[in-house]
Amino acid sequence: MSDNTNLKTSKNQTFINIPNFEPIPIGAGTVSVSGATVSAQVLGRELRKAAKDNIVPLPQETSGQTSHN
Amino acid sequence: MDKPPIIKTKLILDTNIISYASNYPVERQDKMLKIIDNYRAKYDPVITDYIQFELLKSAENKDSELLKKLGLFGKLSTNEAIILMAGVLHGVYKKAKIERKINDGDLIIATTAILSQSLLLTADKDDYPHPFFEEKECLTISFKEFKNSHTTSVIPIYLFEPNQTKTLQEVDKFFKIPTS
Repeated sequence: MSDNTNLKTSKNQTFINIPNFEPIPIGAGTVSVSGATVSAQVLGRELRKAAKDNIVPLPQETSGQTSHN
Repeated sequence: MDKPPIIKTKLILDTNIISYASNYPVERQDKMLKIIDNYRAKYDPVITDYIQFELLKSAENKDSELLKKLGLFGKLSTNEAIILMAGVLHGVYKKAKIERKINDGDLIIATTAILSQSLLLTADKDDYPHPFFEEKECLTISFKEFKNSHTTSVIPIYLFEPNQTKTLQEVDKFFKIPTS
């Protein structure tokens, strides 16, 4: 692989190389994770409450929904 | 000695998935929550800060309550690299003759999935085009809009995996940089 390639791998780390910019790393470290995920029961309960209180916007039109008689 | 934590692959829940999980009808909501719950065994469901932005932007009121609900999910942060790569991806899609309109938000969410090596759960397959995204699974949710409704609506739910190799190759070609 030449030095010019966009795809570079170093110590199991892959980068996307966009001319004139710092290489963009793929994988860990590219994005950070924050916030704690809660149990499925808590999530379900809270989202059901959200529906009751009508606080989360409805989805915009998606490509696949169909109706059948 | 404590066991090291098991690091699961992240599963990004698209904006429409959060909406379905948080809105009536109950039948659709219950089925959507069950799908998310089933995937939790294998994956770590998260949203991105851009998805949070899209939901807040569309909300008419009770934003603080909405923020509280969105705080229930783990979150991936959008950074400068993602914004830059999303801009490049737009050109890469265009060069691949993907003609349909894919909005900026979907480009940013797609790039977040590609760079973070996450899977993506969505109800809208058009936003994540082949061959940059591969369909791993397709489930359907059937439900009645109203209790006495004579019609049944069906929503497909797609589990996508970003095709990182293909994306990298196409970025190479886009900038016409030789790979060998």
